[in-house]
Amino acid sequence: MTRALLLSLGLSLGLSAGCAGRKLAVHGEPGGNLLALSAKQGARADKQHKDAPLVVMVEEGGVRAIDPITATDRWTSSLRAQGHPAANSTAVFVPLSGHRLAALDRVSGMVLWKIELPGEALSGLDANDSTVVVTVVDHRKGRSRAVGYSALDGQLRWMRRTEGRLGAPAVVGSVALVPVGNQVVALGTRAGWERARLDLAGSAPGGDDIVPAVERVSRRGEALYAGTARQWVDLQTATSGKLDALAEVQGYGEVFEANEGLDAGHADAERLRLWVDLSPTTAGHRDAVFLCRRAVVAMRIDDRGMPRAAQWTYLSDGPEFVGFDVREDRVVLVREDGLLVQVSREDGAELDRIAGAGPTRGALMVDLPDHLSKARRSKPDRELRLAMMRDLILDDDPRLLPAQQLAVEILWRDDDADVRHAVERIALGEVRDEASAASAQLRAHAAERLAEPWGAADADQIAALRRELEARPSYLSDVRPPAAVLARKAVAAGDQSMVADLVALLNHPSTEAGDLDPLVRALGDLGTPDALDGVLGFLRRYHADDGVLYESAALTSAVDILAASADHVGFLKEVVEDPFTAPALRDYIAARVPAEGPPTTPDVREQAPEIASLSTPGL
Amino acid sequence: MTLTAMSQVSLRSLSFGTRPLRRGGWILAAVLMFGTSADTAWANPMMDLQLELTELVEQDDEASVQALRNRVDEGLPPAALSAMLDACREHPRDDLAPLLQDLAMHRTSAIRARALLAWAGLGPGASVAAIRAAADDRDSGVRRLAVVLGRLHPSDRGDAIVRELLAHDAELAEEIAAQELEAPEGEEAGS
Repeated sequence: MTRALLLSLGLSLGLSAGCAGRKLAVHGEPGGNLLALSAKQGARADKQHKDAPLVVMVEEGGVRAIDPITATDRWTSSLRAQGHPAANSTAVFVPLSGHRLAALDRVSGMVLWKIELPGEALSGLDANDSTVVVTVVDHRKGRSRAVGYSALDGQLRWMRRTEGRLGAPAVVGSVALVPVGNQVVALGTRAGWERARLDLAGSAPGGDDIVPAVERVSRRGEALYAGTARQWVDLQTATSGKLDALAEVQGYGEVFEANEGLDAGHADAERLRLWVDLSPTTAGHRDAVFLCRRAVVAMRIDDRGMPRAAQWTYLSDGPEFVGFDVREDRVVLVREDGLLVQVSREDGAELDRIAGAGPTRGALMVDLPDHLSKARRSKPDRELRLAMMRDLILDDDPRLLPAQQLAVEILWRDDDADVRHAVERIALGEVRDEASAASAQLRAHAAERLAEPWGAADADQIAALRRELEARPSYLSDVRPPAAVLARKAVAAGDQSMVADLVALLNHPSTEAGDLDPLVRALGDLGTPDALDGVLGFLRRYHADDGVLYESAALTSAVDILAASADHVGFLKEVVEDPFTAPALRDYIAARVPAEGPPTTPDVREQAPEIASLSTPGL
Repeated sequence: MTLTAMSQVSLRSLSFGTRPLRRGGWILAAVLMFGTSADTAWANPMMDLQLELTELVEQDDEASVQALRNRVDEGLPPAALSAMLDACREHPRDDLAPLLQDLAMHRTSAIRARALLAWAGLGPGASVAAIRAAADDRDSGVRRLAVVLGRLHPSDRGDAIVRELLAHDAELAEEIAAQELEAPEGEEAGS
């Protein structure tokens, strides 16, 4: 009996102390099935989810909780948060100065408990209904701890020490997913036992001050992602060696401040944030929302993280945004004056606005519904999207520079040469010509874009396409380049160095008649001076040849392209006046280019007035 | 030499592979397929233009070369180009080689054929290049011209190109074989 009691006491002590004595390996033997474990636990947690939406405003002088549905204050607290709070279904956990953590009742805001944390700096925290999991760093000893506390009373449940640093934990059901080195470890929240370990790609880290390769882990449905503020990796593909499954928005990584995995609280850098839709996708592109101080840009990014198209932009009239969450149908924003505003993900229109109570540094949004019961909205049309981009670019507020650079990037990737021409106008200083450092940076950014392909292809794809375009039709060599297909690919690649080969194919006598029109259109889409010269040369050479006129629509397409450019109207008039011009072609041109006055074909300004107006200083 | 006269050229002395070549009706057809410049001269402005171009070809000076270059670059109707190329063939000028090479890349096969004929007349090197260009053409009529040029301007390299062409173009090879069978015995015996 005594032995049984001792054994029972020993087991009890062992459990209560968790794995306090066991070190957590920086690079341990991978084991268990972390993906399956998190999926199972996540599904359980989802079933237990309670629909009690709350927005916890981290204000200058305390913490305020409001109900975003009814627009009512739930409670206020004078506690001053030093890091990012977390919540479970009953409490809100707030990091405080002096390495302390407080738990507040989620309904009343009453302080439930306060404890000292065993480290100098917080990596992050998360909680389920029984345990709060905290990762802290002890700089003096160069090590980290993952610690589990009872969510009910703050009692220590377990502690795991490790060399180097741990990333922020993500609690999924009854496991905490903790980044360590280049691995993700699943710890049971009850006792801190290691239940699974997953290797990310890359070599094992070394040294005394090991920074995790990723800062946090995030679950979206059955998918699990690990990443930083600007870069996420699908853990499913990471296990197959493809760590770069989802890169950062390329070229914009520098705007996001790296914090080496430490929770810096609601700091200034947090006003530049990127949200990427991590839902599994098969379409090759994802939605993303870029928060840039007082601007929000919703866009599409491709599978390499390149911004491809803007959806909408939303600008605050002055104060910056400090809180940011994206739901199924809307973006929820908290402004530094405490304003809570919700805008549609479809078109950026305001759906709801709740006035603020005072200066605010950040916000925690808990259990917000995925949808608001509002009428379905539609995406803005292309002209409106371009108008939004114009308004963003023409705003001389230097705080918007990163968003403006992003807008320039998106304009440069537009299929319409006239829209891309706006980037040239910016580079030349025809707009945004004020003498500020931000304007100079924007001009330099536009000039850099002009020097690179505007399409979606990467360097390898462009090199392969260039090789294909170098081939010329040859009967003896059985070479018949699919010129129309290559022309479309060249436009998609947006590489201006391909113009010469496209012109050569257009002028090659063995190019199929059916390929001529796609080649001419591709040159028109590329829209560079040498591309238009190629189109002009083709029209000049064959304008008096009925046979070429009737074998394809290439000559009339050439007329359409040149008629849209004021520089070439004079040439078209010369063609009309040439007595040997094919009569049908002369009639076609005459209908589009009258003898006097401007061309009657759609003008650049009619096609994209909002972008064309970029050329007008002062707008 | 006119186009028609050219079709009457005796080909008996030309070698073609290991067998002697024979003249056939298809040669005439290949040449006549492209017609003559006179066929397409339909109006006075066109005749004036053809006359102007022809005179430029016959002037034989640097200024005329540049003037022809300018006129071609401006874009000319096929009938005018045909007249100019016929003149180039009858008055071979080395300084017109670049222009002829350029027109050998024209989309209209009749223009290409005329340009190749004129280009091939500029010497052994030009003839081989013209045969190569004709043999590599997507148009079967222009490819037939390669065989004609091979007979008009015989050379080992030209023969090799024609053999390569016939290895690729089964239809043309059969056509030639059939014509060889139809040729009068006396013609072969007389070679």
